[in-house]
Amino acid sequence: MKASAPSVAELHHISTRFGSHVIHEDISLRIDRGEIVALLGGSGSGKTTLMRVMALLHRPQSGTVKLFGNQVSYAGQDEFELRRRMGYMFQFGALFGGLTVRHNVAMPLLEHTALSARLVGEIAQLKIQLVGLAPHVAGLMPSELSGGMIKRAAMARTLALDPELLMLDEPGSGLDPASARSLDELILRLRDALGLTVIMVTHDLISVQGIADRAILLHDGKILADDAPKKLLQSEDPTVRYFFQLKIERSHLVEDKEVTL
Amino acid sequence: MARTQSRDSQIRLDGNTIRLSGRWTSESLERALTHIPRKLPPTGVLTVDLAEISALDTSGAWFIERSVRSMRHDGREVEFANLSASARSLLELVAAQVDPREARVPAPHFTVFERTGHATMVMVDNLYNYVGFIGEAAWHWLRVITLRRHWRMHQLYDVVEQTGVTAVPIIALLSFLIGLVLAYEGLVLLSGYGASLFIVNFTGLAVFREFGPLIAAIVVAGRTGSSFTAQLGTMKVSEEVDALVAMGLSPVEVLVLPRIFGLVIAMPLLTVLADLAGMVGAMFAATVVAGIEPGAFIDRLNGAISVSTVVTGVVKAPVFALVIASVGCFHGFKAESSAESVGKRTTQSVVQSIFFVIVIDAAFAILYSAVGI
Repeated sequence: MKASAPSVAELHHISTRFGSHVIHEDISLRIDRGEIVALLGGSGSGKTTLMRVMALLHRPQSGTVKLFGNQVSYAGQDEFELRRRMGYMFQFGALFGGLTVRHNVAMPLLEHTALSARLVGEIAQLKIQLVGLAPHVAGLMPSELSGGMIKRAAMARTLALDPELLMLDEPGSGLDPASARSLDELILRLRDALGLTVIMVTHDLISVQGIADRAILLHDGKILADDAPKKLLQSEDPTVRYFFQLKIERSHLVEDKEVTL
Repeated sequence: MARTQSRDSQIRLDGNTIRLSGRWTSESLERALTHIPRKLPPTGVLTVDLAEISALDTSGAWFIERSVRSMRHDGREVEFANLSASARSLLELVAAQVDPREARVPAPHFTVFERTGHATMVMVDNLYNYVGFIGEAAWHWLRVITLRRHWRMHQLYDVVEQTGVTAVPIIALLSFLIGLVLAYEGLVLLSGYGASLFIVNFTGLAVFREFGPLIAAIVVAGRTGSSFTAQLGTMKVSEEVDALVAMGLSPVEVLVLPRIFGLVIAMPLLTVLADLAGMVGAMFAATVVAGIEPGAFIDRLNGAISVSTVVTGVVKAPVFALVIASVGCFHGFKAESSAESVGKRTTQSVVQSIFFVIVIDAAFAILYSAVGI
């Protein structure tokens, strides 16, 4: 588990376009084991697409992706092997509507391991409770869940195989502030206990400051800033300041109040 | 990927110490399950030693935790040794949860009687709701007429094009083939009596009265009824229907009425097309098999088939259209928020509209014979 800090994910000169619309232009970055990285940026800045590129759900027009030290070829069986080591939580949960929550969580375990159905059931139940859902929720159908419960159930399913790399698309959106914080805590705890690497797309600045080791700000198809969240808050760049809602014309006094909350 | 060695999880008993080694993750855990020591030393404190573990995840942690719990349940004292900080944190996290074994919800079990009763209630409920839906649609229709609200002509044209024009090739082809087969089979029988020419009377009556309207209705139920259900069902799931309500619009007026009236317009036209294509098929078979000239065929048809025969067939078409469109829309609105539910409703919509089409067709046959047409 404790190898000499190899990178978990690397992007080299990634460019993506939808038609003639350029999303990313020559983006390179590296994510190390155990990091919690927040991807920030305005709506439509390509945060989710960049994460989908890393999750091998979207193939970029040019550039290379390296995951766990292996260069991705987009061919053959290797991809399946790599995907098993990653977990992707979709923004709207993407729970399978025809299965109960427990079955949703158990599915990857049943498909990918040789464990008995009974033990899988117990592990699925455990994960459901781990993300803060009440035990009886396991028996419900996704259509019976509230927005916040869907997020948690999706998180439980993403964690089913204890992936080394966790990718979360707006984990806190749609949650009340208290639930969002407890989800943050869970992410931190799992990172420490399992040595996870976490990449998350988020708009929740409190969560970014609370748990992220690094924040990457995307703007106009490029990485505008890539630093510890604290450092970014002291940035002089007007776009960075605008994004963090630091009014440029205001004094430093106001800054502190608005940011720390 | 050569990670074959020490991939498996192992358990060894060493005096009072249970030594765990290898990878204790969901992928490699099954090995340990087959090597659980059957006999534990009878007395003394048991020590679970995790020194040789190379990987641990929540599945592994849960397996260790549940084993330790059952040993403790048997009155043994158990302690951990050589826990790394991360392993300790993980075991604590797992131990802090409510025992997942207690949360087992018994799978609901229904007897045949309960299932039958439930299915019956669902059917009654569906019928009740369907009648309500028809009433609602009729009320909105009256409102549109009396209040001279706009008719959404653009949508109406769209529906006519989608349900009518694009269905022309398939309905023409199928009717042609049915007419052809009908004439061919009939000629086998009739030529034996030297009455080949009567094939014109036979196919004319069958196609205009029954086959034309039925083929058109069944194809439309399959391709249009299903698409209505899937469209409205998906709109319901993505809350587009609620969005209309929130805007102060009536989903029935905006979505259902254009579909029903569009289909009511398109269906008689498709029926006439099916009639004609069916007769062309029959004519083709008659020419090839019995040598009846097309001109003679048409002359004979003129005498054999009256306008009223054609009308009795075409009159059914708007009724079929009403049923297909309303059943399709009804099931669309009944879809719940899942892809599975939309699929289920689409199936029901097609099955029920074809069922109703055939039942109504039978009702027409009885009606016609009662009034002597």
